[in-house]
Amino acid sequence: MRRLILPVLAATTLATGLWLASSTPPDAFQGEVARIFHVHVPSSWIAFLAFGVTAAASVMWMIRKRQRWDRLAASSAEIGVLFTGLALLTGSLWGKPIWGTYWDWGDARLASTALMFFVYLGYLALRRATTDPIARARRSAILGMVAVVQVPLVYFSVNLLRSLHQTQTIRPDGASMGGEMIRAFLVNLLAFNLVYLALLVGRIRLARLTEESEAAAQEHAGAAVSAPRLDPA
Amino acid sequence: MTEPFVLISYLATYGVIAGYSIYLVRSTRRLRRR
Repeated sequence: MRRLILPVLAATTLATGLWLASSTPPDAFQGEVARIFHVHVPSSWIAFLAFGVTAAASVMWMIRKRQRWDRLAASSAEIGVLFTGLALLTGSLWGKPIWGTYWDWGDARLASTALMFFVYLGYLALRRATTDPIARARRSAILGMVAVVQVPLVYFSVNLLRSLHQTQTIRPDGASMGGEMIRAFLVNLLAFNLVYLALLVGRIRLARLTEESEAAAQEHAGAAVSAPRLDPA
Repeated sequence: MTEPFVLISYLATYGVIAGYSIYLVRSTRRLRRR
C-alpha cells in the first residue's frame, strides 16, 4: 500500500496541473498555443534533472563500485531520454504555429537538445553492448559523467547564441509571466518532479528484479555444467 | 485546449507517461511471477 502513495500523489498533482493549465486565460500574444508551455518546460527540466542524477550516480559508482548506483544512473538516463523526446516533440508542435516551422537546425537550443537526446540514446545502447555487469557499469559511468556537460550548454544556449528561442522566462530578477500562469506552471513543475520520482522508483525496482532474474538463470545454467570425468582406464 | 497543437502536445505527454508507467508495472509483475 505504501508503494502507491507516490504514484497516486503524482497523478493527483498532474491532474491539478492540467486543470490549472486549461483554466488560465489565453496568452495575450500567442493565444491558446501558449498552454504548451505547461508541458514543454517541465519536460525539459525533468530531462536536465534526470541527466544530472545520472552523472551524480555515475560518480558514486566510480567511488563505491556498488551496483545500486549503476542501477540509479541507468534508470534516470532512460527517463531522461523519454522526457527529452517529449520536450523535442512538444517544442516542435509549439514552434509550428509561432515560428512557422516545426524544426530549424540553425536554432542553438533545438540542435543542442537533439544532440543531447542522441548522446543519451547512445548511453542506453552502450549499456546493451556487453553482458558483463562491471564493464557495463564502468563504461556507462564514464559516458554518464562526460555527457552531462551538455546540460548547461543546452540551458544557456539561448544566451550564448542568437536563436528562435526566447531567453529564460524565470530569472533571478523576476519572471516574464502573469501570476495565474506562474501558479499553473509551478504546479505542473511539481507534478512532473513527482512523476519523475515515481517512475524512477518503479524503474529501479524493475532493474533490480531483472538483475536477480539474470543471476538466477546463470546459476541454473552453471549447475548443468559438470566437471570432466577422468577415466581410470 | 481544443487547439490541435495544444491537444496533440498534451495527449502525447500524458500518453507517454501513462504508457511507460504501464510498461513498468507489467514488466515488474511478470518478473515477480517467475
